[in-house]
Amino acid sequence: MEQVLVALTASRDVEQLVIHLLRQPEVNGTVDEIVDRQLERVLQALRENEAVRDLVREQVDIYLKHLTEHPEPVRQLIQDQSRGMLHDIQATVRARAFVADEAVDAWIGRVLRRS
Amino acid sequence: MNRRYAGLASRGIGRALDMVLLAFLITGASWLVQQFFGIDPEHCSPDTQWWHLRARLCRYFPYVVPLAGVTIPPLYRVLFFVVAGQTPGMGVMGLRLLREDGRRVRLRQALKRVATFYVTLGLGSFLIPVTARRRALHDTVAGTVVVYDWGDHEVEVRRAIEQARSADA
Repeated sequence: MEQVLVALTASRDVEQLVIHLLRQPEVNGTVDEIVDRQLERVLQALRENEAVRDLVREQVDIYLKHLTEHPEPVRQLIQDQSRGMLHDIQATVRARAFVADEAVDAWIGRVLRRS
Repeated sequence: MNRRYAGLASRGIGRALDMVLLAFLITGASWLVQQFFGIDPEHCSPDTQWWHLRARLCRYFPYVVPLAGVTIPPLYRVLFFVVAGQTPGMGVMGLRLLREDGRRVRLRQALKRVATFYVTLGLGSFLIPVTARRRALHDTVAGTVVVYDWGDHEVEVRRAIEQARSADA
């Protein structure tokens, strides 16, 4: 069986046939469905796997430790974000006030012309 | 001179921001003084001797805060006009006070402007929408104008103005 599989994967014709089949919409949909189902099963297995959990915890600890030791980039990022947000708010307030200035002038102009 | 003169709304908001800041400063300072000296104006000890300064301060404290409320705002305005050409509130709104010829305001103009404002109770501001260069009475007396100065944020403000206009249309 193994030998057959090796021979098939080595064959150029088989490769082209697989590519051709995968390009067919109905086959592609079926393959997508199979992959999705398998992926979900694998992800579920990974979620329940204690070793993976330990690995993630370990990595999170490493990242947190790194961030604690080098907080400058995170601090810079937060500062830039806050500054950008403040500038946006300030620009909006200034623009609104500018438009209101024009509106007040126009209104007073209309009132004076009428009287 | 291709300057854009600031209108009533921008200047009004700038002034309101200054008033809020001043209110915080004055009440904050009075609270700090009370805490620092341990003053409770309702329970002042008698000042029988001239060196009983804390007792004297305690007795006069109810008058100190209103007095500060009257004297600090004009000083604040004069100081910021001369030093920066704008108060913090004007800074937030992107406004700058200049002399008519575009030069920086000096102590004389700042004093004239602030004095006229308080003497006329600020009512001269209603001339802003009807005068050619949007000048209030205190601007005319002091020979000053208030212009928009958005500094490095000119592009953002212009974009926001277009957005505001299209939203209002």
